[in-house]
Amino acid sequence: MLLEVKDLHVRAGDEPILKGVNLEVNAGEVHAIMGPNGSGKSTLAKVLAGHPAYEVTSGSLHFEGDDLSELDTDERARAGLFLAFQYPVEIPGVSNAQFMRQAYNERRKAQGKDELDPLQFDDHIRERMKIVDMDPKFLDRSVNVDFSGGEKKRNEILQMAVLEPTLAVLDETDSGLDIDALRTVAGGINSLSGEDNAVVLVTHYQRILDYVKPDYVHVMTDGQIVKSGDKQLAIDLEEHGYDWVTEEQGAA
Amino acid sequence: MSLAEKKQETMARHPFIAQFIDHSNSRDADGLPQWWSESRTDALQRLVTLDVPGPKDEEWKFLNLKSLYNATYLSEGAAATEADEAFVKERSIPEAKAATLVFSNGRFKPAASNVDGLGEGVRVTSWSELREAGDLDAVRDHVGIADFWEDDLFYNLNGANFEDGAVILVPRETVVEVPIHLLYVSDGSGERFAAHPRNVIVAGENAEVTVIEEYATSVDGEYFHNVVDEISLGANAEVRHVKVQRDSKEAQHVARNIITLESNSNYEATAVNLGAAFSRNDSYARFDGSSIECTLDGLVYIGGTQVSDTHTAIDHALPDSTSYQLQKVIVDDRAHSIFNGKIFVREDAQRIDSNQLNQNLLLSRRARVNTKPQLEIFADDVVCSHGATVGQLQDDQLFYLMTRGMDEERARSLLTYAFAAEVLEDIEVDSLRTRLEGLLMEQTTRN
Repeated sequence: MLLEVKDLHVRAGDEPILKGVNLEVNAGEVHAIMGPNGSGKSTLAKVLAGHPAYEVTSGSLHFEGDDLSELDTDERARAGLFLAFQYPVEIPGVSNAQFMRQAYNERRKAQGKDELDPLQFDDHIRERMKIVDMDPKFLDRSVNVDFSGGEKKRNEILQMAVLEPTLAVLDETDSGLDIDALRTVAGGINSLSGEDNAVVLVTHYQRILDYVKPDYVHVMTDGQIVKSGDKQLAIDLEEHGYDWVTEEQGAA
Repeated sequence: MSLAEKKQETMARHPFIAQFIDHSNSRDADGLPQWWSESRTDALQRLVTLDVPGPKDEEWKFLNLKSLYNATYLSEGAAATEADEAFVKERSIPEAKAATLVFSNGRFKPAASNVDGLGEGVRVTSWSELREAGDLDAVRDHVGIADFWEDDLFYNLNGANFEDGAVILVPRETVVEVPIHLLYVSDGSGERFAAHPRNVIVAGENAEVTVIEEYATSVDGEYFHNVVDEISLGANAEVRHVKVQRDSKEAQHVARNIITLESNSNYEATAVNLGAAFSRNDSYARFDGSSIECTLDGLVYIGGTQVSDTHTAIDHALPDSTSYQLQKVIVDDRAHSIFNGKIFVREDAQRIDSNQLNQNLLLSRRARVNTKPQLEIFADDVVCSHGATVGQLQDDQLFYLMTRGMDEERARSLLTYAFAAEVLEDIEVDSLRTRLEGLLMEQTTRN
């Protein structure tokens, strides 16, 4: 099993946000976690990456059998866990190429492989940029600075393509994308998912699931996964809205 | 009152000043041209009336200079050493191979220097060499041309004491293709000394030159560099000036840079201050024409108990000129940085475009910054922007880098480097820029 989340409780400050989340993800699977705003789905994504603003109060997180509570954010990343940000961070003064090469080499080192020098890496990344249809001019620009919303999201998927994570958690990567950008980004995700890795898509809308077909769909409300199913669940949600699940819960 | 009596009085008021009056009086005046003797006497006359500046003076606020003022110094002539050959080699800049002036403890070292084939009429030499050759009149018209620091103690200490320094004279219509490297090497192993370099850089009409002025220490120790640079640009001239101050962290470094600019000239300066226990770097740019471009960029990166103070004044007297200023400051440990950037736009100076930004990065809770951008505008048709920021490394940036596999130390180092690198980007001498970037990377990693 790649990821095992058991009865996870998390709070930010004094406020409980996750109230007993259970989730299992195996290699080769694509999971979608859907839910209304404030349901805790983005918090789950950040907690997986070890965001310092959140405190795990009970329950457990395991990645490939390792207890994640013992790993810092950077150790999780080097172990093969990747988070695509909902709001990618701008880093003035660090070129995109330099940033990605450092990230790539950190992962290579952790895998016991040779690091690439700037020239070797340039060849490698230009190849990867084709996956998300990005112009090489973005290599010389500062990370995410003066990128449009869509360019920032492509840049996140480019990082996924470069780092080749075992588990990619994509936090609302579809939000703010026009249909062409959505297709490109989804195409990128599809070409990167395979038998040895897994993808967890956190999303508000069903739209991206027309392009990235999930094996499992989970619905999250008020800090818990309240319903799981196959991709038909996403279609039902699109039709009936999140209230339908909430009401169904209330009735049960 | 006679000069001797005044000196007695100064001695009682402040031995720091009195000892430099003594140094001056013991200097060899043989064969000194009259104009030089007179300027030395002028400086001495002013010195006996001056007191050491301190926290009560607006321009010296925040500073405690006891360790500078309470020390005694040998005159640089008494602290003469040969430049460490291996060290000079290590610091040499390949692009400037044909134009390097080496100074050791403030004295010019012809054997370690090399000036070769710079083009007709170009003079790259030193005061001591000109004096030996009886050719001092070549520099006469370019010295003491701005009176901005007439009442400044350090300017007058230099005026009363300077005997050496670089003289760079580029005649009109002449482009010096290679950068000129001034390398001031200090060996602090002996008794504490004071040196007063006077560097003169003159670019005639349509001339172009790049000067790298570097202060470095081969052996750490206490010494005092008290520098005056006089830089003149003729019409349409272009001067790029990179100053790298890496004096010993036990040393004191004070510098006054006077820049006078004629119409259509372009002066581009980058001052990198990394060394010295205390450094004070002041620049005054006077616009004597119109359509001038002037850039005064700076990078300060200090830690430990270092103190660094930068004061600049850009004086727009006439219309249609532009000035840029980007001052980036990184302060670690218990270090303290001060910045005051004055921009004057006089009544006749219409259509001025002036940008100033001072950004400060605090790396520790005990680091300290004082900043004061200061615009004084008397014209009505101008575009001026100025700003100052003081901040720490951003948590969201650190987290982002860490989610990409960099440990916290690496992430901090990369962000610190990125903050500073912008200032170095514009340095056109490749090997120097690369070296400074490497130095910066090393320093960010060490912290």
